[in-house]
Amino acid sequence: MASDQTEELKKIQANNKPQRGPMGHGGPAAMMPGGKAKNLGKSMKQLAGYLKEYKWRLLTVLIFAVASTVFAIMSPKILGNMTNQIVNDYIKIKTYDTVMEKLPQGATLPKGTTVAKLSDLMKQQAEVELQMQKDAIVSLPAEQQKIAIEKLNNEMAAQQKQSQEFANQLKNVPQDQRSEIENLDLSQKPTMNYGYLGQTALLLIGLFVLSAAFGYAQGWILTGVTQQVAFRFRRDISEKINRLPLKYFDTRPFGDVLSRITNDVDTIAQSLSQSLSQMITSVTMIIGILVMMLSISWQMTGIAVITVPLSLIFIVVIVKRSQKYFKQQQDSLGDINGHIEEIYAGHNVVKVFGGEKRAIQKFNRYNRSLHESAWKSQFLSGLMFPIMNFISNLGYVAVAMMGGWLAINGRVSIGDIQAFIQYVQQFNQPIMQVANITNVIQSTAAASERVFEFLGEEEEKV
Amino acid sequence: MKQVLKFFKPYWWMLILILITTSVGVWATLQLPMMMASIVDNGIIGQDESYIISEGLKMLGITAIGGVAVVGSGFLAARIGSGFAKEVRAATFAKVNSFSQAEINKFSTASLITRSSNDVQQLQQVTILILRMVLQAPIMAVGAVINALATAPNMTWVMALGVSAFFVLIIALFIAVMPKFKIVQKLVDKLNLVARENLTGLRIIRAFRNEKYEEKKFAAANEDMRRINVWINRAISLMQPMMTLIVNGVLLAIVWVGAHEIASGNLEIGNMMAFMQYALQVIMSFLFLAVLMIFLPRAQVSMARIGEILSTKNSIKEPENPEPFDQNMKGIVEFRDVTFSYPDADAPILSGINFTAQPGQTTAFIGSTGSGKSTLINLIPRFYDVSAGQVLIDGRDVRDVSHEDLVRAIGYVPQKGVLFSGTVESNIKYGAPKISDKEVLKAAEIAQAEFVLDLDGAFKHHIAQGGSNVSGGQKQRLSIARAIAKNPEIFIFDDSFSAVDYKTDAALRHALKPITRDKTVLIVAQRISTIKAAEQIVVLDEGHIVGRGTHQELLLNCKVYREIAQSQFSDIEMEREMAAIRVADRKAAIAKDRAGVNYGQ
Ligand SMILES: Nc1ncnc2c1ncn2[C@@H]1O[C@H](COP(=O)(O)OP(=O)(O)OP(=O)(O)O)[C@@H](O)[C@H]1O
Ligand SMILES: [Mg+2]
Repeated sequence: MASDQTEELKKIQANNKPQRGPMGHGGPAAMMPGGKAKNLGKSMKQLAGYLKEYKWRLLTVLIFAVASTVFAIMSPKILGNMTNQIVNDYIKIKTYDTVMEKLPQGATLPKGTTVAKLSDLMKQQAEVELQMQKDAIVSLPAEQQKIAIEKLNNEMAAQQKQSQEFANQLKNVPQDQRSEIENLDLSQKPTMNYGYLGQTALLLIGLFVLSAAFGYAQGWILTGVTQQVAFRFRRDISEKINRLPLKYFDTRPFGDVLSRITNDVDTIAQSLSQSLSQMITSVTMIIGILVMMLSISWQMTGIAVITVPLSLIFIVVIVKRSQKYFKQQQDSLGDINGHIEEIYAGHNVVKVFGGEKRAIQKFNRYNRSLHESAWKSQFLSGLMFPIMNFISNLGYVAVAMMGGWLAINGRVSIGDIQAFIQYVQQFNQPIMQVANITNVIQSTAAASERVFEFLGEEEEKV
Repeated sequence: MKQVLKFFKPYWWMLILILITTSVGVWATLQLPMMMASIVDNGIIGQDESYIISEGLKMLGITAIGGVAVVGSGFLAARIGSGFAKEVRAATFAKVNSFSQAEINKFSTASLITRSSNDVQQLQQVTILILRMVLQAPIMAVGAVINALATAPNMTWVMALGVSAFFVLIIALFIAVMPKFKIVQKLVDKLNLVARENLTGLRIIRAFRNEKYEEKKFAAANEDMRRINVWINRAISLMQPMMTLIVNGVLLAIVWVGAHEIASGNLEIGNMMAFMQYALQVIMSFLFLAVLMIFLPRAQVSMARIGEILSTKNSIKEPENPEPFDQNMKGIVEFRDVTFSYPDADAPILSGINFTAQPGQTTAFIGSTGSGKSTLINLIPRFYDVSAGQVLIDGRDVRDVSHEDLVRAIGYVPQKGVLFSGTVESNIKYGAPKISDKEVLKAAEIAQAEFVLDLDGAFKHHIAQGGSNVSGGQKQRLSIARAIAKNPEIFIFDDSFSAVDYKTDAALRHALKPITRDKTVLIVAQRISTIKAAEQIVVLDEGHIVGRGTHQELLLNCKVYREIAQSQFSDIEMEREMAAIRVADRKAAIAKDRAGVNYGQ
């Protein structure tokens, strides 16, 4: 759930980034981070051409990214195994404690006394005692016999209740552990299996470190490649400048060329590394998590997976609605900015012709409609995350209930539930990233299209 | 800061409400792990199906409550953020409107525009962000810590360790990366500079075949850029794996320590699992607080930039006891020993300015560019106030007249035509909204703006923002029409005739004659032909009056004026002018002689 919010932060950062001029004058399209590419396929192909040289390094990136993700996905299940071990040992300890509570303080049991044996023993002892007491009653006078029998019956009922309770306690143990408990040696206090726990912990540490190392190595290599590509783009543009006919620059502002060198190349480098590593890790993660979830329980997986299209539907609906208001907001923003610009620039005239009041009235009108669309679009777009969160919480609850039921029936363990919850919580992020990847690709394509357009201009004939 | 923050005031109750909804949302989120724990402890280990179902339904209910609360928070955040931005925007706009030219110049128009739009927008974004996401972080942190203490007090140190590791990581990265970002900015500038030099010097570079040299220079900057970008991005890509490592380490530590605690009977299994969730939530909350550290400075900068506007004092003050003009004011403009220097500049731009412009006369100003003509006439409508001396209208100091009275008397045509979006008509009527269509038409005719009739919709023709859909000359003529339509006592034309051709210039002046018969007309001009007929011409040079008189007088006596004339007339024209003047001069001398002779007799 928290990762969704990180995504949102990133988005807001991206939205705030492109402040090219003092005002985004070219209409909403010009204010978008990258705009849309005219020919997505072509520019992606050209970009791929630039990347060809690095294919071995990129392949390494791919392998490392997959490795890192796979190691990361394995760990919750293994951590769950640790929990299972703890649960097991815990039940043993608890059984031992309950049994020992019944025995007189300081008593020990002979080696090899299991729970099963102990309850047989108790039964036998109870019968012997009963017989002894019955014998004693017979030897009593008749008027006292009645009272004694009543007393005995009461005692018997109490004793029966006690042994029934003991039996119930055993029954409370999940089925698959029952036999283990029944064979528990009560001669000494059971302890946690720290040997196993320690081994598993070491294994996990190994996995964590491996995953982090592969993850970092992947980023390290990818950064080298993307920055190399950016370097080459900049170099090619600068060399191209010197090969273009002079008249090319008569009609184009320098700022245009300069913005390709800085903004566009930057966008390509950023989005390239983002899209490449995200695409790999997200897809690996989705598949990996699905596999792990299925290995735990198909019923629980079913519930968890149902929530995904549910939240996707909500997202689509909300995005559609909020886009309408975003457009309105963009329009109002354009109006108000235009008004501000015009009034500030004509400040003298406004003053001499007494236009202040009218300027403010008009401003207030624009400001009101901007406010109207601003809060609606902000509210709707902000709704996306709480709703997804809500749905994922629903999933959490459903998983808890389903998991609890399955656990009682001995079909999943507590550690499995713990692992499953971790998986469910990790599931949303890669899906969002995949959903967002088209945007990233779009802006990559748009930026590289602008660069390739420039590089493809006809050169001066020598 | 305070100036801006006070705009939250009308929203105080919403702020309290959002605190409540956020707390409810956090409460719901924190409740779930706890209930999960009891499902594990009582339901699963206790083998109680009905408990699982009843507890599960309770969880559903709490989830729903939490969902509603969070949606409520989103609603409130959007309302507060955009409402606050609306108020700030309105206040900023009103404030800038009240500014005099001195304040506008202090900030520059472009900067004022950015502050009123981008900075306000930025403020809105960050406000909403903080209200919606960052606000819950401290609440969540406190709640999670409390719950963690309740479930497993002996293990809180694990959590503290995780949070500290997190902070160390973030701060280390911050310290390592931030200074490099500054270097990147410098390198971007350098790269831009090299490329720009290459572009501007393209012709020379080609001529001298210097391409290779330029490319090498660029390649060096480019390589620096690549290196530092690689360094930064590699440092940043350390973040994600390290964060995951810490989170996983914390979870593992909880299980390991938890095992010991469980063995000694201090902890239940379910509580251990709940504790894992709480630890995650605490760490995430602190991550958000760290994010706040990134966003807050930006918002602070925006807020300071807006606060600067709001706290600026207007240098032009309204008089406390304004003096009204007479019912039938004349419009005599008098400059008395006026000295003026722009704020923050030491050398005066104007000094020792003395002249009087009479109604029914045209007073013209001429001088080389930068000689201070615009500066001079800008003192009349109080765009600026004089540094010393006085500007008087009908004998009243302009500083003693109310702004409203002052500007009502003045029709001003700026040096660069300025129009506002609307229609041709709304622009002409700008200073006199109540005039009839006939008067609008007449003003346009006098201003030689008959082109309007050929436009689509004529006077209803749409004018785009800043008048960008009409030409410079057309803009100028509509600006003139706007001043005429106002029917003021004093006309100020700042170089308003230079954007039209000679013929129109002449026609315009001819048409203006009848309506300016008893008005004071001040004209700044470039062309001598425009002002030849003026009753009084003031020649400015570097802020001083170096000549004053009629065209003829100045041609004879003023060197600067003669030079301007020489540069504008051809030799033959100049000869003709001088000859005519000499003849006129001689005639006057003879007349004087005669008078003298007569007198002598
Ligand atoms: N806002 C300002 N702040 C500081 N100096 C200014 C400002 N505006 C103008 N100046 C300076 O004052 C001097 C006079 O400028 P002014 O605009 O009055 O000249 P001008 O005679 O109208 O020239 P032009 O014929 O080009 O319109 C110039 O040296 C100019 O640099
Ligand atoms: Mg000027």
